[in-house]
Amino acid sequence: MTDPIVIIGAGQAGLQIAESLRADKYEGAIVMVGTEPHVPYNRPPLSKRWLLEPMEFASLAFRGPEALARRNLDLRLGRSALSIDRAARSVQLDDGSELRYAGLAFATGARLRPLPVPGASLGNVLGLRSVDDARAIASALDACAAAGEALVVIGGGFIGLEVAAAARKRGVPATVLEGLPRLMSRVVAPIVSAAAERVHRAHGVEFVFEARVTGLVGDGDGAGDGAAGGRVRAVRTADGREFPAGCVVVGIGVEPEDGIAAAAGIACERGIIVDDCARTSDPLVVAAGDCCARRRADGSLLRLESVQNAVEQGKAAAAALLGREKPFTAAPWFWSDQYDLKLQMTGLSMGYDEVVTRGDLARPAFSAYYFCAGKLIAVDSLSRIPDHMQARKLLDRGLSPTPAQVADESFDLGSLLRS
Amino acid sequence: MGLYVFRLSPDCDPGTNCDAGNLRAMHLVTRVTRAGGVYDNGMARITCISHDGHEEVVEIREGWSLMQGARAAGVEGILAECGGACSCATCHCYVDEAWRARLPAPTPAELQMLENVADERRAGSRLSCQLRITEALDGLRVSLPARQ
Repeated sequence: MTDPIVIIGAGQAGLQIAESLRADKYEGAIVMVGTEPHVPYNRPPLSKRWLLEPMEFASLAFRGPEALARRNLDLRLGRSALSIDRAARSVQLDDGSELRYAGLAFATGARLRPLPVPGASLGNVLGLRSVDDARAIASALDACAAAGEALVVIGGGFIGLEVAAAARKRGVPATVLEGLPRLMSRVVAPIVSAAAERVHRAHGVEFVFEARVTGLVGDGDGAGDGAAGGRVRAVRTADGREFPAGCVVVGIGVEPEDGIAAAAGIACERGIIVDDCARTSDPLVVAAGDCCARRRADGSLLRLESVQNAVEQGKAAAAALLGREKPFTAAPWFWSDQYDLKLQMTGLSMGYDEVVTRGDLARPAFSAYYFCAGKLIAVDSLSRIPDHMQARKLLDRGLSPTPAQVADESFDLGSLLRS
Repeated sequence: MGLYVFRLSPDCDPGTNCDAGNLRAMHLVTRVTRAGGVYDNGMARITCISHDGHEEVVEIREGWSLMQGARAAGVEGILAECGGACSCATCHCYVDEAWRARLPAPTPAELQMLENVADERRAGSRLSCQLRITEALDGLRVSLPARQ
């Protein structure tokens, strides 16, 4: 009997690899190792609709038990891989067992970046990555609503803003502390940051920019962290201010889970380095999703944390395991839901030298088109769904309107797709 | 595994194997899959017809979306990349004519996404993530496009 394909990670990318292998008629054994005790499930709703209206776990799972059984996967859930031995082609698990592999896939995802200040492990200081994290946040928000306590969010990125929106919908006061001068600054232009900030302020969220968090204060009698520190009651900043909090959510980004791969000598640099076909530096090993850094044609490394990346890189990884090439190079896309605001982004705006908007900035319902040397590189849309879908097509086909055409609202950008 | 329901082929020859209860010909094979979860409330049986005519029945509990149920049952042809946020248009389906009027009308966001589906948009086009299951939808039939 030949050795199985082993997939380390049972999230969206891991499941995609397994299902793509089956769709590509691979009938051999597949072992999937997942650290969480749950079958693969859908994470984006955890900070969005599910946080507003938590439903049972089954509604998040990608596949029910019967459908999962039909895939014929050997699921090792609640188990972690500790190391791999590439010479022996084996994976060591935390239950002491060893799995030999014919092919190996990393779909290990990312972990929360820890907050490097005293008090970060107090009670009710929460991050959001898993369904269990989301449950904890939902019940903490309910408790805040009942006790009249506030939420303090550290980090004005997507996760932080989505949680702040969920808090406001429950009537919980929310303050967002952001280290930089504006929201979502890593991803969107100032004009988009400003529009999102206005929407949140209109819903009662308070913002402190260029805030430097120096520590979290607990209600326990011991100083500092852990059980002795008790439950968080306030966040302190460098300017001496103290923000009372019944719950603190830390959303300061994630780090790729590339430790096992790096320890085994697979090339990593802030993520497991893969090519467009999800191949790593080891010909028997592929990787997909949040744990990866993709080497692009210009030599730069791109790490994306998105559903599209997990799905498309997962398909590429499955093909690569079967000796085929299915490169993933499509324009990235992301989305975020905050109140009724639908934020959709495509392309990468890094390095833009011109931004042109279409639509109503005040409402807000507009799109920001980013250009570099006259060529369209990215579009952020706020409640402008057709713009977003059209922009994905334009970018995928390498088509670019001129900045003047975007500025002229009477010009139909869709005409570029039809010509 | 799912319960397999075998139906007689219309061309089955009476008086031979069929009379003996031996289901010789299986013209149409329908798989019934419970989508998952506990059915403490109502549920509906929804028939999903693949682009090449394969029918599959999915039992979906009340309160879920059609997309959630089809995804949980592993129905091919529903991708639902955004997980039900009306952001990707990859859970497109065609609602059987008899059922169209019984469904709530699409929201403006759904209509905008429907303008961008990968396959042909038809009169019964809907995004299955926006169709909330109620017992009244028991028996609903939807067809799935070849491309999402």
